This record gives sequence, structure tokens and C-alpha cells, in this order.
Amino acid sequence: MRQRITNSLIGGALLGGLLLSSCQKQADDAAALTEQVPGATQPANFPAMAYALSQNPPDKATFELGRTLFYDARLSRDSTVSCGSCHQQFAAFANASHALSHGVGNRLGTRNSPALHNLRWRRELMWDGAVANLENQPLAPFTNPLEMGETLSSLLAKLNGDAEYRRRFTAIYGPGPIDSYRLLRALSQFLAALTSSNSRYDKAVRHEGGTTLSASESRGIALVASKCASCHATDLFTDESYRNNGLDAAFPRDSGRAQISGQPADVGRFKVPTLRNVALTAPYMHDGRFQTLAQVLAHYDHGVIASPTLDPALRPPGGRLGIALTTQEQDDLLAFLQTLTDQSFITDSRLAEHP
Amino acid sequence: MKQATIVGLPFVLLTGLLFSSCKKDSAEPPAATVGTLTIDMENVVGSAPLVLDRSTYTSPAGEPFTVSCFNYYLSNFKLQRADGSEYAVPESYFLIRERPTGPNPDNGKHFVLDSIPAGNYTGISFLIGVDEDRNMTGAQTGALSPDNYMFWTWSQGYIFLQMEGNSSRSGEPGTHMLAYHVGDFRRPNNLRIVAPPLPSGGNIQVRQGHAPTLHLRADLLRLFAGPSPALTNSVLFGPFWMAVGGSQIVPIVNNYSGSTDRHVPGTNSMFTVAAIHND
Ligand code: HEC
Ligand code: HEC
Repeated sequence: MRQRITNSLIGGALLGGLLLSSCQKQADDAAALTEQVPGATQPANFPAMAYALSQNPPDKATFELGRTLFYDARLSRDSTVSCGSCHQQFAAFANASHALSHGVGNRLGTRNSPALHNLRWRRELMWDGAVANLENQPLAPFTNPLEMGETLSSLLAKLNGDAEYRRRFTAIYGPGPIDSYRLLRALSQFLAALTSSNSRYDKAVRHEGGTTLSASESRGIALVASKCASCHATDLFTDESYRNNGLDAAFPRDSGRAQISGQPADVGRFKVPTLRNVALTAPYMHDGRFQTLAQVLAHYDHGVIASPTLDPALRPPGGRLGIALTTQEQDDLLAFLQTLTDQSFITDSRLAEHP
Repeated sequence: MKQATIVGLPFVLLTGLLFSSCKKDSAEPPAATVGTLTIDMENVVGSAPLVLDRSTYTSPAGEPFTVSCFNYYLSNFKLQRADGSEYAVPESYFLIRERPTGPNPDNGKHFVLDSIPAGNYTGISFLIGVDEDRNMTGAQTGALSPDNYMFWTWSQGYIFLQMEGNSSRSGEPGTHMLAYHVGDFRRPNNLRIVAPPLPSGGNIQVRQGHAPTLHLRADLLRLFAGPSPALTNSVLFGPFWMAVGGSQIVPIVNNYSGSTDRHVPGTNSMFTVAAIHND
């Protein structure tokens, strides 16, 4: 669009300036924005975003409103639980040391709270892909009786009854009541800003600041590439597919992806999680069954259990189940997984409850 | 705009022009060549009008029941011409609710399809529910807002149609409730296209300056009986008093749409064109 206008109409610098400011304001401000709103750029080693910047252009006031909402326990039925209760920054927004999370009335959920990072790159959310768009994701915890236990109308009434929220929403979206659209758009600006791309691994692959990895860590990278990357692929370390990695023989309580797709072939399949910040997000797996990364590696080495939908990658022809890993290989993998911890992400004060 | 006032009037005019060229990507057809079509919805139960709570009806299986809630989405309207071509009405999403709840008081029974190219149309089709794409798009407003409580928030997606009521024959021993909620766009895919025939020889005449109205009737009894005895999935309230999505609800979907396939329009569905008023 800008092309067309500049070609046909550019008459003088003054006019050009006006045009830019009317039509292209967002793009021109992009540089300034990245300083104000975290996570508003594409890291060089990441794949393309699924939730593009243009879908909800980052803006400081909206991001900050999203942050307030994320940490506000009044959004739950009894004002005890916020998003931040189950998603804690120091744990890369996972729920530290909770296999299953506690919601309102101290009720226990059914799955492990995943870390929240790099959500812009996710096509589907939740362990089973129950949510196909980041913007609608908060509707799930808001209304889940095991999480925030609120109804949408009561939640919106609370927000509309708060003069400060009304002022902030109106300043961004104009006059009119706070509806679910405005609430979801604001909250998703905060969620989308949770980009974690500055681990030691990232700096090394991008050749930044002379960061290098040790011999053991480098061997770990090669091991992931050869033994894990059929699932934990790309620099996001997930191919976003649903797989059965051999945790159980049957899945009567939680069948995973099959709950969404209705296909028997999906029983026991769960979203391949990223490995980023994994050293911070114990316990592991959808039900939080493993306490340490060493236990996870032991599982792949000798704990994989057969079931009809077990992934072919974990049942090599003629061989025993799983991925054979020597002690040395396990040590190297553990060393490598530590390099995926992004200190700057978990200490970024702009993402904190009290910035 | 603020800058423009400082610079002076010529620039105001100029930027005004530029603004409009920024916004319009494609040229709209000249006004004289488009018109509107108003749809008036009427919910009935067999030959009786639908009255919530107070009227008792009899199902095709001979069981008495009342209705406390009846809501459904209609979307993706298309109008067919005699030569086989058709016009797809963009952004056509409508929520019809016998008794609206939530912040939006509109029952949706009277809605307008606008900017339709003028011409004579010999057929109409639409989707019962919300298409796959919109189930996976971000935050929505209007008919598609989750504030209307027609969106499943956990395993996310729209509720395409919902009917609730009571029956002394319900298998639910306490409240004797009935509850049928239709959704799911993956597998099973419970979306259906329906193409109710126009009254014989009738066509819809869309013209500039005219306001044709199509009177569309929805028969709730069709949840419990298909288009013909052979294609009926009989619903007995004892064993089948509730279903929320999934494959359980498929018999009801096939009954009301007269189609077992997402892509094959049902021509004998719960919807009938009662009248066309070309005014
Ligand atoms: C009671 C604990 C709890 C609360 C409160 C909570 N969550 Fe979660 N969150 C979870 C659990 C558990 C999951 C995984 C659920 C699943 O996969 O079925 C999850 C998943 C997510 C995901 C998807 C992550 C992924 O990798 O797929 C996002 C995004 C998210 N939550 C954001 C939020 C937001 C925003 C809020 C506040 C509106 C919130 N959560 C409140 C426990 C919680
Ligand atoms: C067949 C695909 C597949 C392969 C190969 C695979 N994984 Fe996984 N991985 C998964 C899936 C799926 C999960 C989540 C399973 C669940 O929670 O039910 C997972 C979970 C994990 C977790 C836990 C993450 C968390 O946040 O809970 C770690 C760590 C992990 N894998 C590391 C590895 C390593 C290291 C390798 C190679 C030695 C590997 N995986 C190979 C599919 C795979």
C-alpha cells in the first residue's frame, strides 16, 4: 500500500512525512517499540511466527495492561488465583515443583502447568492442542472450575466495575464497556511478549558476544540432533506434533490428543514440548511424573513402555524400545539442556508482577 | 490528522483523499448494482409455534417434552443463480436465540444480508454452525463473541446448536432434563450445509431500492426425526437425554440437516423457506 502511494503521489518531503505518519505509523515505530515491549522482534534462529506481530501490533500501554491482568487474582472467582499463580516467572512461567496445579478453593488440576514462552510460535496450545489460537486461550483457565472458576459475565462485570481498568481499556480501545474481545486482546499482548531467545545456546549459535559451548555441551547438541530431533525439532526444539513417548501402556484417565481429534490413533499422544528453559520447569511430562531431567533421560533409555500408539521413533526395528543412551551421552545431554536456560528472560523486570 | 490541521487546509483535503485510498483495497461495485436480502426467522415445533417453558410438545417417538432453550448459528450464506453460478455473502455469521442471555439482547431472528449483487437468485444455502476457520481464529466480536456463551472454552470451539428442555420420559431421574449441544469441527465434523428449496417457481429478486425478505422456518422436531422414515435416527429420551458434542450427537445432526456429510448440502432439513416477499 505504501508502495503505491509513494510512487504516485510523492511530491515533497513534507507530504511524504505526512503519509508515513498516517499510513505506516506502526511500522515506523517498530524500532522504538522493541525497547518498550519485550519479545516484539523475530530472533534470527527461530522459525516464522504463527501469531504475527501484525495480528495484534505490540504497544506499550496494551502490553502493560495485559501484564496487570495476568497478575490480578481478582480475575478468579474468589480472588485467590491469578494466571501468575500457576505460571511463575522464575520457572519460565511454569508452576515450580507442582506436578499438578492448584486452582480456586485449592482444587487440584489434571495436568502439569507448562512453561509459557515463545507462544507467538505456537500453532496450537495445551498438551492436547485443545486451543487453536493464543487470543482465546485465557478463556480456558478463566472458566475452568479447577483453575480460576469464574464465569465470563461475572469477570467482565468485575473489570467494568473497576475505574482504573475502565480508564486503561478506554485509553486503548476507545469508549464502550470492557468486553471479552478487549480483555483477550490485551491479555494476549502480554502472553505474546514472553519471548525467550537469549540462552547461552542462542548466543553461541548466533555467534554473539564470543559465547562458546564446552565440548560436553557441544556433544549434547549433536546427540539431540541425532536422537531427539525427530520430535524436538528446530531451534524451538519441538515440531509442534502430538506423539506418544512411551509413558504408559494405556491412557484411561487422560488420552491426550484423542480427546480433541476423536481419533483412536491419537490415544496417548501429547504435544511435543520445547526443551527451552527445561532445567527450570520441573517436574516433567503432562502429568508432572518425573522430578529431574536425569529421570527423563532414564525413561528414554530404559523406561519406554509399549502401547498401540507408541511413536515409531521409540521402537527401532528389531531393537529394544526407547533411545539407548550411555552414561556419557546422558551427561552430555544434561549439560546441553542447561545451556537452554535464558537468565535474561526470567529476570526481565518488564515481565515481572512488580516491574 | 492533528498534524494536518497545523499545516493548513490543502493538506487536510489531500490527506483526507489519501486516507480513503489507504483504506479501500478493492473497488466496490457501484451502489446501483447491489441490494439487500432480509431474513426473518421463525422457530416452530412441528405445526406449532415454539413457546419456551410453557408449551408441551410430542416427539416423533410419542414422548412429551418442553423446551427451555433453543439457539443456533447460521453462517456462510450463499445465493445461487439459474445459470449455476453463486454469490457467497462475506462475513455472514448470525446467532439465533429464542431467549438471548448475556450482554447482547438481540434474538437474531431478523437479519440482513447486504451488498448482494443485483439479480435473480433461484437458491439459497448456508451452514448450520461456524466454519472450521473461525473456530480457530482469535478473539471475536458480535455474534461470534464468547460473551454469547456459545463457545466451549476448554476444548475450544463454537456450539453450533443447542436445545435444552424437560421430559417426564428423560433418563435423568432428578430433573428430567434434556440437553443436546452440537459442536465439533474436526472429527466428527458436525458442520452441515443446508439448501432449503425455494417455493416452486419462486426466486429472490435482489434490486437496488427494493428490500426482498425471505421467511425461513426452523422446525425443532427435526432434531428427533430425519428427512424420511428410512433416514431417521430415532431419539428416545430415556436412553438419550443428553449429549454434548462428539460422536454421540451425530444422529441429531444428521436428523436436522438431512445430510450425513459436511460437504453434501441437505435439501430436506429442519429449515424450510416459508415465503419470499420480493416487495
Ligand atoms: C490453576 C493453575 C492455572 C492457572 C490459574 C492458569 N493456568 Fe495456564 N495452564 C495451566 C495448566 C495445567 C495448563 C496445561 C493445560 C492442558 O494442557 O490441558 C496451562 C496452559 C496454559 C497455556 C498453554 C501453554 C502451552 O504450552 O500450550 C497458556 C498460554 C496459559 N496456560 C496461560 C494462562 C493464562 C493467560 C492464565 C490466566 C488467565 C492461566 N494460564 C491461568 C494451569 C493454570
Ligand atoms: C517420539 C518423539 C520424541 C522423541 C524422539 C523424544 N521426545 Fe522428548 N518428549 C516427547 C513428548 C511427546 C513429550 C511429552 C510427553 C508427555 O508429557 O506425555 C516429551 C517430553 C520430553 C521432556 C519433558 C519436557 C517437559 O517440559 O515436561 C524432555 C526433557 C524431553 N522430552 C527430552 C527428550 C530428549 C533429550 C530426547 C532425546 C534423547 C527426546 N526427548 C526424544 C517426544 C519425544
